[in-house]
This record gives sequence, C-alpha cells and structure tokens, in this order.
Amino acid sequence: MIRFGSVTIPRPVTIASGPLTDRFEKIASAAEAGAGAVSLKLTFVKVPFKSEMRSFSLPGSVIISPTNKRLELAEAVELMKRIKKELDIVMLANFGALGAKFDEWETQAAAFQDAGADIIELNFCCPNLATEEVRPGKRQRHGGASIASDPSTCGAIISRLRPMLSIPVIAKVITGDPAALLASAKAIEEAGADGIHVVGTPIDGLPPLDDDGRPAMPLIEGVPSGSTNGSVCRYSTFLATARLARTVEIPIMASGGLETWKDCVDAILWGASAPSVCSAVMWSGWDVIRSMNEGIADFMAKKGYGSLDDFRGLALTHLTTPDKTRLVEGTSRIDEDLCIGCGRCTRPGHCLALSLAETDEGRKVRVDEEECIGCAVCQRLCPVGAISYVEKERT
Amino acid sequence: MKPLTESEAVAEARRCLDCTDAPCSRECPASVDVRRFIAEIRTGNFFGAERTVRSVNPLALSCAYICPTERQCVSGCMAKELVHPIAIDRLQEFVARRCAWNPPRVKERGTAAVVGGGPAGLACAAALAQGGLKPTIFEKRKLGGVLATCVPPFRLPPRALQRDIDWIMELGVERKKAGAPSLKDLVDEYGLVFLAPGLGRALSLDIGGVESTTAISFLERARGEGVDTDGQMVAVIGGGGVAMDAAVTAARSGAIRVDLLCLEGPKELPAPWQDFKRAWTEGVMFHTRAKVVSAEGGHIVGRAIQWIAPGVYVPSNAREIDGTEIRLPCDLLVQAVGQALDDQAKKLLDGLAQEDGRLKVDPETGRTSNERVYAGGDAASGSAMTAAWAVGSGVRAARAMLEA
Repeated sequence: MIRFGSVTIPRPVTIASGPLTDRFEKIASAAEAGAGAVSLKLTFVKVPFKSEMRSFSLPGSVIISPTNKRLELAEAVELMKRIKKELDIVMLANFGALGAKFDEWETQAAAFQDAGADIIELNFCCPNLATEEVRPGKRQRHGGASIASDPSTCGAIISRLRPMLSIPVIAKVITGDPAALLASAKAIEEAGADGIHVVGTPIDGLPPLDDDGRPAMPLIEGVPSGSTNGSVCRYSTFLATARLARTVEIPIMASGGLETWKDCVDAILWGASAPSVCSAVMWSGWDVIRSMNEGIADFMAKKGYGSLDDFRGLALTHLTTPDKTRLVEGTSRIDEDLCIGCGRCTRPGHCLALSLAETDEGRKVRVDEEECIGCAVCQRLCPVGAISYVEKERT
Repeated sequence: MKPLTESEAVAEARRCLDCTDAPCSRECPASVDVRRFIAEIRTGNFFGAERTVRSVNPLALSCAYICPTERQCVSGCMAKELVHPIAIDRLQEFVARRCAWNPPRVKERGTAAVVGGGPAGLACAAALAQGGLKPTIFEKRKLGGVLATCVPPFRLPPRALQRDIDWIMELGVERKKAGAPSLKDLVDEYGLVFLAPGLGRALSLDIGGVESTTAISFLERARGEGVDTDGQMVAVIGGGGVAMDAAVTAARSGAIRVDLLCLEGPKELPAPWQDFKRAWTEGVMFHTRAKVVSAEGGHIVGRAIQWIAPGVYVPSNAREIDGTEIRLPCDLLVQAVGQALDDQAKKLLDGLAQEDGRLKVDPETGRTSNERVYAGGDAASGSAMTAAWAVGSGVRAARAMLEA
C-alpha cells in the first residue's frame, strides 16, 4: 500500500500522535476501526512540564489546544511493547527533545526500536513546547515546532539517528516560515530520512473570549497560545503538502484538518503518500476511520486506480504562481428551474452583478454578465445548486 | 415528493446528529443502517450511501416514496428534539434514484422458488441472487404486487417502482408469469421455497342497498381502465392507508363529495400520516369512531361507536352508542376493511403448521414447519404491513435459506 522505508502501511488512513494515542484502549479502537498505522503520543525522556489536555473546541471547525499530556519514556516504552504484543497495527513512535540534546534523541530512538516500534517519528512540530513568549529579537526556546524552521538542526539530528537505526525514521514538521520549512525538508531528506510528515495547521492561535475578556476555555487559568487544529486547517495542509511534494522525493505523510475521505484523497492528489487524522476522530469517534478508508476505496474503484501511487500528486500540475496563472473571462449563470428565489446569492457586498427579479415563475435571480467578475463566491451560497460558471462569449 | 438536489441533500444530512446506537437504524423494518447512509451523504460519498441502502433494501426507491417514516426511522430521530426530524425519505430517494451501485457477482450454486412477486418476494429474490441461489419468481399478475396494481401513482410513481424492479431482475432473477404449482412440486424442483402470496382477498361488510365495491378493486380499476366518479357522492369505510388512497382517488376522479367513516378515532388511525394528510387537505370529510350499519334510498346510515376495552381497535370491540345516527348521501360505497388470504394462497399454505389462525413461522427467519419452506410478507404476518417490513421479511428469509 504505502511504504516508508522498509515498512508497509496496509490501509491509507493513519492516526496522528495526540490525545487519541496515549492509552492502550484507544489504540485498540484505532486498530479495530481499520487504521493503517498509529503514532504513539509525544514522549520525552523527562517531560519538560506536567500537563493535560485543555481546549477550545468547535466541532467540525477548529480545536485550539494549548496544553497536552506527554508520556515519559519508561511508560511509553511499556505501552509500545504491549501494543506490539497484543495488537496487529503498524506503530510509529513520536518523541521530542530540545534541539541540541542529541543524547535524548538517541536514547529514545534506541528504546523505541527495541520496544518494537515500526517507524520512528521525530517531533519537530509541537507548537506547545515554547516556554517563552515571542518577542522581537529574542530567539524562541528550541523545541518542537521551532526545530522545523532550522534546517541544520533537523539535518544534524537525523544524521546521528539514521545510522544507529534499522527501522525507518521520518521527521514530523509543521508550517511556519515556508522557505525555512522547505529548506529543512531538503536537509531532512539529505540526511537520509525515510519520509516526512507535515502538519498543515497554522501553528498557533488564541480562543474567543467571554464578556470580561476571559478565554472560553474551561478548567484553566492563564492561557498560552495553542496548537490550532481541525477542519479549517485542511487548506493549509494541502499547500504544505504540495510544496513539499515539489521539494523532496521521500514519501510525505500529511495531517491537519483532514475530516473526510475527500480530504484524504485531496491530500494524496497534492502529493501525500499517506493521510493522517486526529481532530475528525476526536469529534466523531473511531467510525470515521472506517468511513474514510471506504470512501477512498470507492473513489479509487470509480477512477480505476489500483494504488495510491496512481493518483498521488496529480494536482501538482495545476499549482502555479499569481504571475503565471491564466484567468478565464467568465460569468455566473442561474438555472431558473432550480432557483427558488431566496436571493441569498444577491447579498454579498462586493457583488454588483446579481439581483432578484419578479417573473411569471415567481422570484428568480438574474445575472448582469457585464458586471459579473467571476469571483465564484455565489455558487456555494445557493442552497439548491442553481449557480454554475461559464465562459463569457467573446464579443 | 420533490427530489432533492445534491446541495439540498448534503445540507439536510448536515442537520443529522449522527447519534450513537442510532435509533433510526434500529427502527427500520428492513434493517437499513440509516445513520450510516446519512453520514455518507454528508461526506459526499453518494456511491457508498447508495450501497448502504440498496445492499439491504433492493426496493430502496419505492420505500423512499411510501414508507410511513413517522412510524419507522423518523420515530426515533433525535433531531426532532431540535426543530424537525431529518427528512430521511427525501435522503433515501436521493441515493436510491442513482442506481449506480451493483453488488459483486457470485457463483450460482443452487436454485430457489419464490411465490409472489410483491415486495417480500422481490426482496427475497434479490437477496438470494446476491448470495448465489438463482431464484424463480412465480407471479401471474404484475411484479411489484400491490405496489404495481393497487397503490396509486400519486403515492408511488410507476417509474420509481420500475427502477427498483429492473435493478432486482438484473441481478439474475427468473420470472414465471403463472401461478405456482403445488408446494411439493416446488420443493422437488427448486429445493428451497419462499412463500409470499400476500393477502389477495379483500374483505367487505355485508351492506346492501347501495352500490358497493372493495377499495382494493376500486384502486386496481383506477390503475387499469380508470374509474369515473364524476358527480357522485362516495363514502369510504376504513381508517388505514388503503382507505385514504381510495378516498383521494375518488375525490380526484370527479366525486362531488367524499366521506370517510372509520371505527378508529383521530388519534387511533392506522393510516400513514402523509396519506391521511393528503386525504384531509384534498377535502375528504372525516367521520371518526363511526360504524356504517345499513344503506337505503341513496344514503348510508351509521352510528357513533365507543371502544369497550381500551386500545383494542377491532370491530368486535366497538359498541354502538344509542341515540346517535349519521346519515350521508351515497352513490358508491368503497370498503377498505381489511384483507385475507385468497383461495390459491390457502391451498399453497395447506399442510403447513398454523397458530392462532395464522401461518406459524420463525420470527427471525420466516421458516415454516417445513424446513425447506419459508414465508414472508403479509401472508406470513396475517395483516397488512408496510413494504419495508415485507422487504425485511424477504431478506431475512433469504439469508436463512442461503445457509440452509
């Protein structure tokens, strides 16, 4: 199915390291739901500060989580051993350390390999590891996400780990400064990593507030900026995946807001080898995995694809830059048989083209094709799918 | 039913709460996993949604039109606690009309006979064909049974039923346009038999003095050569869906007045809600808890009734209230007072064990006292059930027959 180094992942949908992967029961559920692989919860030799998950959660939209539990190495290794003994699931071990502490990277890599992990996943992505506020001129404490912006640290860590490991090693990186990310990706590939996992979330955010300015996050006093995840991130994930697919040859795992089978297929079309999910299951449960795998299989059957490779990266040919794109002169068109005359599409403030007219068949929307700029905002406002776009006739 | 567009279907599916251990799925008599097909619509996997429905209910499009959802799936819908329950019938129509999914072909390993080409027989045949037993349906009238001969087109568009029938027959189902031979001959030739002959005999009350017909025969004629009630006063007896259909048909065929009298009170009507609502909004006059006792000189005479034992809505439990009288003008009396086994069905079922005057069948599988013979549909239940229930009985029997 999907290969990272010598390891094959048998089914497309994988579970990202996080609140879903910190207990044996949850990983058992993942296996039962048909996940192709699971990445164990972020582990440290010694956890930098004790924590537990807190969040601002809008199901189907966004989840901001400024704090999370981490596993200590000893307990994580025991958990990995038990999983590999009792369950049949490909396991990634996800761990971190502050950038320059090579001994901690090495200790954990060796311990997890001995415990039976199938793939090592280096955490160069966790946004919640910064212990200092962002200030101009001050360099952020070097851990998790900030490693991904530093190509030399990424390269150095992998260069040291690659020769000591017999199992594949991948680096999990997060977006931030795009140029730095791509430079790190190249460094990761050059150092011999077997793959790269990119998280497309916009790293950090703050939650909404109540009337008194208190963050809408229960059971926490004083809120750090939080790892911002969920459905809204999918677009950022597509971009990060596409950029990486153009930069490296090694396989790409992509996560960040993938909620349905279609998001997974899109990530693959943008160049990913494997989709990884978290928030979808946090909101809707393990059945999402079965539904995603089935939807991907139905898509492949419909298109006649035998493997993910058959459609991986097909979208890249459409990725260009603003100066090279070609605009098609067009206009919206209303199917009056479908139009119910609600007028929702005539509301947008930037639009001077759409208006409601009284006709024999009741209210219908009319398009002033001269005024229509082809912005494509109206189509998805229509509740009945009456709007399409057509090329303007050349006069 | 106005078909939903894709945008509308997805918007409606988004309202669904995706309940755990969803009541809608549990309430479906055909065991469709309603929650799941709605979730598949919601994520744009329309092909998967169609598969979820049709793999279990081969008459998916017909059921979308005629299921009394308020008593089945929608009765459990938790979204009704918010504003409205989910329009599950519209969502099922949306997926069932696609006819894009087909089950995988399996190797034929035997045969089976199916007596009756109504919903139970068709569903059983579809499931048998998908499991490797080649079915032969014996149906001397129309495939679809009462769905084709009796249910009015305004309830079930004939092209929708035909879509389902064509899909089923293309699975590799044989059909003999003839009555069935004896049970023994069927078992000898086919090995396994599924009996779903329906309740083909319409009952009627003995009320002289007025032109009288059964609702079944009235509706069959309406679908055949047509009926003309132009200028007539029509009275319909019955509180079920058949009575509603007959009343609406009479109204739409020119009657100047349609009265409907039924023993049941307003809260006791067995008719599906949308069929009652259609009759009500088309001007049928309702006389509930009323019994027709005689007819003469262009009138029917009835009395108000009360129930003796509460909650038992059968004629023997109805007592006429002294001093009440209903007189209505009536040129034509249409009776929808129930159905029973016809003579051919009785002959076919002769020899199989009975219980309380009904065929004795295993409630899980429909197996009769003859281990090679299964039964389903109205004939097995003894009373008129929904098409979805008939489908469920046919599919359950087929599963047991495939393992026999």
